[in-house]
Amino acid sequence: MIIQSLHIRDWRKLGEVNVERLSPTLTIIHAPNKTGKTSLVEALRCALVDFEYDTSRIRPIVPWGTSAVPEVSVGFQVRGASYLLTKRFTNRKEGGAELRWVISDPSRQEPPATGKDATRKARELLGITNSDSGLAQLLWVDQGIVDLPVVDEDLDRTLRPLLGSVISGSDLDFRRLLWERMKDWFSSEEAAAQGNCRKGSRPVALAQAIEEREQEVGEITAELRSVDELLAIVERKEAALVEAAAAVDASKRELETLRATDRELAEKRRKAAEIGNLVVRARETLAAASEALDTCRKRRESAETCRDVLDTAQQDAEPLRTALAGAEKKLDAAVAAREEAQKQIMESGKRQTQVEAMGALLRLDSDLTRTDGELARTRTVAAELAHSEAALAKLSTPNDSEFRKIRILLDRLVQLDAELRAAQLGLEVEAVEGGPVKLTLDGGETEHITLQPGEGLERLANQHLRVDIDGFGAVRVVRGREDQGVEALAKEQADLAQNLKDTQVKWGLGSVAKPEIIPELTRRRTEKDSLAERVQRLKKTLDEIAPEGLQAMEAQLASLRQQRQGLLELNPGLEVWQPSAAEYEAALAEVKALREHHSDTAQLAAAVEAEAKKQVDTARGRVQAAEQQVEAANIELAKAEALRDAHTREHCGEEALVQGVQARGQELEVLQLQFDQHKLTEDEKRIPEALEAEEEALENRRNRLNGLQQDLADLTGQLKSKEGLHSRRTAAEQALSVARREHERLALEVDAHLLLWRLFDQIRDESVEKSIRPVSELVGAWLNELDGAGHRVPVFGSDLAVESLATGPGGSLPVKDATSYGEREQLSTLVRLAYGAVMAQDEPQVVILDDPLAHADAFRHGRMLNVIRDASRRNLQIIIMTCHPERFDHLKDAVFVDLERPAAPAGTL
Amino acid sequence: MPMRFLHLADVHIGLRVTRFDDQVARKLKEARFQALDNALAVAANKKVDFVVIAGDLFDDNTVSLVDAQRAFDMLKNKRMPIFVLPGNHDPYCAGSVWQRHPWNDTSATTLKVLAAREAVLATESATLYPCPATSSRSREDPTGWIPPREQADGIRIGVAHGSVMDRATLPEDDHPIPQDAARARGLDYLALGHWHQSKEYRETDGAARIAYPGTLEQMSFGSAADFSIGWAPYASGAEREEFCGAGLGQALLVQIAAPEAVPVLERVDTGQYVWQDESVSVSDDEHFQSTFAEIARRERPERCLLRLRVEGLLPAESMLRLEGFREMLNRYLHCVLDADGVSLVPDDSHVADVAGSGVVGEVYQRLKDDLATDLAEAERDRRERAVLVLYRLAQEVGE
Repeated sequence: MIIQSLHIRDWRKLGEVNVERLSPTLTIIHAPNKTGKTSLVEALRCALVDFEYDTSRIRPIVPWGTSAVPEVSVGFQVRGASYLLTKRFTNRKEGGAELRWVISDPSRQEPPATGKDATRKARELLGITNSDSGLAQLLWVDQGIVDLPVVDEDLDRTLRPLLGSVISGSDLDFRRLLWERMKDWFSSEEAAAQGNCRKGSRPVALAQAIEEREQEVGEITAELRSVDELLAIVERKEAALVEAAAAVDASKRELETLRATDRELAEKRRKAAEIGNLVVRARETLAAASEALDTCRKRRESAETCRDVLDTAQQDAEPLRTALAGAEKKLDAAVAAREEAQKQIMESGKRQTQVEAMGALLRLDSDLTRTDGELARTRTVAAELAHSEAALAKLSTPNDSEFRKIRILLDRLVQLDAELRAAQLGLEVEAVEGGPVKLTLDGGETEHITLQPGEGLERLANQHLRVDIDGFGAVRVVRGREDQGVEALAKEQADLAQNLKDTQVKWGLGSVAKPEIIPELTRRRTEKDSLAERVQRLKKTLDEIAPEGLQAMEAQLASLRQQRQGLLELNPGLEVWQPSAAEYEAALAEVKALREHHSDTAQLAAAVEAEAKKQVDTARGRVQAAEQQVEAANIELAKAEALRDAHTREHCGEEALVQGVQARGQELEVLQLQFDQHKLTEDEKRIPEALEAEEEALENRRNRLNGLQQDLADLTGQLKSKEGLHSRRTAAEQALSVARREHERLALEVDAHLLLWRLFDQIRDESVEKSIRPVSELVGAWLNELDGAGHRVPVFGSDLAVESLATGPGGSLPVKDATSYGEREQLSTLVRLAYGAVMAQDEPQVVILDDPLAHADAFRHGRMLNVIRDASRRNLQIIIMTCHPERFDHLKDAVFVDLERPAAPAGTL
Repeated sequence: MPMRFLHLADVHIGLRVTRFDDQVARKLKEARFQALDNALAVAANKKVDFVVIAGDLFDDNTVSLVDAQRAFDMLKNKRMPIFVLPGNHDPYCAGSVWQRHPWNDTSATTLKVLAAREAVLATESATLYPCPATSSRSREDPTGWIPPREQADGIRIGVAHGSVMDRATLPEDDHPIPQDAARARGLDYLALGHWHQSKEYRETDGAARIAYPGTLEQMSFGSAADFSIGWAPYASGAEREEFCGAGLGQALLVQIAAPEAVPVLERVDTGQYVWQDESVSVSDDEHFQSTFAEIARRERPERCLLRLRVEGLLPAESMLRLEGFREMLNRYLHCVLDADGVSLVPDDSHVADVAGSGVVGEVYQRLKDDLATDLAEAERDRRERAVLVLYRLAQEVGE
């Protein structure tokens, strides 16, 4: 549609407006505020589609205080055909509507439509039912409106042919209904997207029930399996029971047999025992007889053996005795030789003692000489040490600390003297003629001095002084004020002087002048160090010479002299001997040779004697042993003969014993034969043992049988307790089956709903993206124009509006956060224009903007004008209402309409 | 007068029913007692000399005391003696139902548990040779102990529970019985239990001397490998047709005139419920509706368990209607409506209309595209279900 002309009369405050020709692209209708721009838009809306003839709506549009009939006439073009729609808004007779076709060719002129027909026809042509619906609600924008409209059915129907699928109300209803159904299963849409059913929902409850039932069935099945296991055990036990019973029977039978056999064997066993006793006794008798015979024989043989032994011993002893006599002779000769040799050794020993005494004398003399010398030297060193120690002890010397103190004292005194002298009052008197003078210093004692002519006198005072000169009078020298510092200095000087005096007395320096004190003390310290070193050295020497002291040394000397005297007393011959080392050495060699010779001789003789003695001992031992053997053989023989004789007397001789043994042996053989006949066989002997074992076996088998019977009873009891298990399992399985069927059905239902849900959202997103694209591209391009560099890309939501602005890869902000109010208004205008442009591809569309861009700054306003110009070239008829026409001056192609200009006659602009 | 007895087996009291709803499961369990009652009524009407139950009176040795007591009460003190043989589901062993109260003492009743391998006089002219099972599996021929016929013997009837080795593929540990056991053991009739389908073995003279009556009450749908109630046999080769088959809910009325005479067998119905397995193929909504209307109109649905397999392509609307039909089929004791074979028509204009051209329309298109590809079964089911949900919701939005 294009609006071509507009005539308004008596509409609210608008008297008459005649816009004969509106631009098909851009028209700026301007007037100051409150002069009727908004009323003009209202009149246009009412004329085209909105108005119904009811009194309540007419009254406000009639100019106040008049009875004028508001009239609006709109010329418009739709799909190439022109129409003129005229409406007079009154309930009176002259009210109504008329729609005329404006066709130049009269032959094709159709009769005009009037009244409601005209209104209906106009609505049909425009494709809307009112100006707040369809495309109009998007493109006809009242003052101050920023938000985009919600897509209603009309708008949807209008947009869809060009934009394709857009989310319609019914789609939204479908989704809402789908969610209503799913709400029973899911707590939220997010949970549905994850496929997580709500806790407590039917599918979850069923899954839980299935799990519980499965567990129950599992438990019962396991119990039933245990029945099978019990039955298997029972089977084994029953088999074992049969075997055990058979074993018990076998044992009983065997026991019976054994007992019968045992009874039969009792008589045989008794007889055998009887004969056995006889055999035992016969054996004992025979054994006794045989033993007696053996003893008899042994004693006889023993006596004979003893005699043989005696004879042999006597024969062996004789040559041994002869050998002993020879050996004793040899021993005597050897003893004589050894005694002679010993005598010679003693002689040579005496000579050796004499020579050793000579040697000892020589050593003693040498020791005496040496010890005497050492003693003399020691005495000298000791005297020297005593002298040095005395000198050291006498030398009075301060130590380092004391020395330092003295030095400080002296220094301070010198300093004090100088300070005091500087501070004291000085008196210098020079006598011309001489005479007595009295001098009083600081109020002290008066000094009487007689000066010689030309003699001078000098004195010092601390505070004041007085000189009395005869014939002249007194001269007083006084300080203006007493100087306490001088007093202190003087006192300190006096104290220190006393101190120094004491120190001098202490160190024996009484006569030493002050300046000499330090050199004197230094000298003394040097001397003391030298003396101390000398004392040390002498002590060391003394320690080396006489480590044990002088007295020990003197004692040693005395001892040596005593030893010498003793030696001479023991060896009187040496008193006349002049000690000579050479003589001593010769004598020593002689006596050594002699002693060696005598020693060898003595050793040989001793060895010969020892050998002879050994031979004698050996021979004597042999003779003694032989004699002992002879003696022992004699004793043994006597014993053996005594025993033999006694036994012979007791048993009437050996012959009788032999006969007795033979008789007993025959008797035993007879009895043994009888016993063998009655003896039990090995098998028969084992019968009692077998009987006992069998009784034990029977007991064991009975126990086992009882145990098995008990086990079986227990097992049967356990099996009986399983009564009803089958029914319980059946019930549990049935409940499980029901739950599973229900769960399966419900799972399919939930799955189907979820599938629909996901598909719906997926397709909706795809659809929105696809359908919005041309609009989105246009808005993007214009936004680029508006932003310049670094522009933002619009992202559309599921409604018509831009949801967010993308500022770069991955970054986007919601529109309300990314823009100011002014920018939102501009963005809204861009979106409306874009929709309009897209929709105007086939048929021009009218865009009415009432006071747009009110919040744009000058810069953006200029850029928005570029966008509006561009939009107007895209088959859009843009009509702008404004009170600031100058803001749109840059729109060169626009037609400007001033509402304040006097109404031009119809047909003019 | 010839001797007559009722031969029944495999009652399976305390049956393991796990895959049905509570109420149905209770009825199926109850049906075992009702079938037994029916059999006893037949026995009374036909004035039989005795009744032989050839094993598996109970489904398990650990059945509840309530079930054991009830069966005992039903069978004790009847006009005719009733002989009960332990089978492989209730073998005679330690702790078994036979050793517990009340079955451990039948002395004061007309009931006798054939627990031992020793001849029992059933009537003056007939001797029973019981072959009780003592474990759920055995490689031993249970009839092996039966002594050969002697001149003075009357009618000899073997009672055993096991598998007649009529083919080489049968397992060897399922109480094997030689196919010539009746002749080899000198029996006039060998009353068997174990197999759930009835079967008779005829000899060359045409006489059926070995027979299985089948289960007294049906316990599964007819097709092979069907344990749809959750029950499983305690034998190897569980998938064998003898156990998978439906059985007919019958007993055998046996009449033997004299020793070595040909037995006359008559089948008698004892069953309480019919298990019906049915498949229908639907081509469009109209066919679908008419088929279901016919099924819903059938007589005595309360005595019938129906497994209905539906196959074909249906529009979404019909698929949703299927849910409604499930309710309609509730008149049956139980109906398993297996619609796994039904697929959505690939291009359902109705769904497309309801979905519209917006996002929902796109979603439908996407699901449709997916379904046109080669999807795994679970994924296909999920998408088909999603289409139905979409259809339902879009309809609601439209309304």
